[in-house]
Amino acid sequence: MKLLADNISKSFARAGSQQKLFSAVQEASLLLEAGRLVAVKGRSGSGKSTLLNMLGGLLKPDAGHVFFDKTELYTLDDVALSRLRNQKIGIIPQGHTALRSLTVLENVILPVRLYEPEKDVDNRALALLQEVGIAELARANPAELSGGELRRMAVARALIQNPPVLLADEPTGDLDDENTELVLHLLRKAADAGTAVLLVTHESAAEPYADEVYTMNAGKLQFVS
Amino acid sequence: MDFITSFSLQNIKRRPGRTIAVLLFSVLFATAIFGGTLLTGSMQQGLRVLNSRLGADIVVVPVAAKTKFNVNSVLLQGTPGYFYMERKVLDDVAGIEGVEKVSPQLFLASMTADCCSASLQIVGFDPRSDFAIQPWIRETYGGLLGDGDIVAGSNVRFTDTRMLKFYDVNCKVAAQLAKTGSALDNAIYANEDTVKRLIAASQKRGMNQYNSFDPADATSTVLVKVKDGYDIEKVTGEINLHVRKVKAVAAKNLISDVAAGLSGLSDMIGICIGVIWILCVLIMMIVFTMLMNERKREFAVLRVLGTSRSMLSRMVVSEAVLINLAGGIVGIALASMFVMLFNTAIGNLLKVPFLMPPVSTILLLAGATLLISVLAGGIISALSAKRISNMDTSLILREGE
Repeated sequence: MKLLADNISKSFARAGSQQKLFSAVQEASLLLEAGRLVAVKGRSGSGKSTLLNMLGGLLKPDAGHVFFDKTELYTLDDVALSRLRNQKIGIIPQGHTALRSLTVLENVILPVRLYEPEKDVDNRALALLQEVGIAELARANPAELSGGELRRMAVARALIQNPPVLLADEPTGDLDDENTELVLHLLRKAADAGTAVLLVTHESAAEPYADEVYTMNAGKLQFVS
Repeated sequence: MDFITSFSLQNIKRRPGRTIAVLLFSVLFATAIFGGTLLTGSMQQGLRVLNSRLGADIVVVPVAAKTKFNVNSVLLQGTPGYFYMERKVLDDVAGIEGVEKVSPQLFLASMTADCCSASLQIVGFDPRSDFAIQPWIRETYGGLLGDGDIVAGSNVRFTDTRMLKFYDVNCKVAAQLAKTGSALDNAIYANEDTVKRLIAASQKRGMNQYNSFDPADATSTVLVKVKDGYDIEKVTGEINLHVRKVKAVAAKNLISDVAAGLSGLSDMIGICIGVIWILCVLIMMIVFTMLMNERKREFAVLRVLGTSRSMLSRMVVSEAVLINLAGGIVGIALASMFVMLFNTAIGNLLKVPFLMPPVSTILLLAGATLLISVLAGGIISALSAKRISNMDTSLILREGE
């Protein structure tokens, strides 16, 4: 399995600026392969999240293509693209993304329920929660969890479908050192298990866990190591 | 149960504050539509029934009664009252061209005193010539009314013995009439001979202001049926021209006073319902937009997890439909309870005939209200869902970070 960004660009209209278009990503190419963890570093606003969203099928590039194996993502209609994202691409979005009307366990199971409501994945979800260290909070309401615990819940949720691709957007933002290490360790473990992992971060702590490191600066992606 | 419905139910159950806020507007919406329409419908139904119960084209009363009494209040609003004229008026009116049938009615008002069971309007009719009261009585009572027998309007109360006393004369309640929602419900009806006995009894006790009148030679009103092809207004004019000391009034004009008041009231209630409708829709739109903005991040997360735009729309609409369905049912129940419990009081307060429409009409109205509530909530939420679906998920997720 591979996820390939081929010369993708994205610009946004910027209100109140003389320069009408803001170029968030410029002709970026990136290959994600099974078993490898790619880290993209950069300051806030450098275009990292825009790149990740284009790779995740959430944001159509203005130019260039995104391929999931041989399928060009943005030729799919919304239903097919959503289904592919649900089953093949696990995404850990920025910030706290638990649904407050569901328990922690229900949040983790939610991606499965969307298309296979009858499928029993409770044991797998509990095992994942065990793996990320919050099994005892399975029946808790997300409001009772700390920021680090919520981020770990998001990791478990992204892994519930056992996706071949995992995209993590600032998964360690505002976490303490201990939780940062824990989350990075989980992502590395997923890569070692055969998942293609993209880690977008502004922190240097991720570098030791990555197979490849890129930087993003003003929309331009550069290979570092 | 499919995932979308169970997910919507979970959202409704576990976010009680949000649910109650939307539910309240939904209840208000349904109460306003159903209650308002039921109120106007009941007034129109009351007027229809009153019109049909009056049964005559022209009502002739003594001219003195027209000046001394508010005839409408006696004939239509049930204020106990009586007036008499000589019985020969009957023949005079019958002789007018265009008159098909005439029938006398004899009135008496009972009193709130030991001699009487209650203060009621008593209406006596001539069984041979009557064409107004008996068809109505036959709907509930098939027998003939003997001397001393009375038929009670639907609001008249009596005990298990079915006896009522007027001026110390005991009368047997042979039947009770169906509700008309008008003052006719507060009257009792008997044949003329019974009422003549009661009048004589009231005169004997000095309780009748027309003590010198011989009840045998008296009538209070003459009801007139006009022949087909004759103009009611013209026949009314002819009676007023040729019959002395009487005032003939076309029944539709009697009703029209009530109808005019009713029309004004209906218009006012209609405007109120319209304003409440618009306000409710606007408030619902604002509430839904606020709720959707508050939930933007939740919807963005669902998109990230693989929810398609159409699924997201179905989730939002399903939640709104469930809440509006519940709100609609509660609103309809509240409005029904209010109108059913207080329908007599409402009729008295508004001083118009007030009769609930048939159950089938009420059920139809309830169904339509429920449909409108659900559609309004569904459409507003579908529009909000469409707006959210078109938003940039990635930008929403970055907002508020």
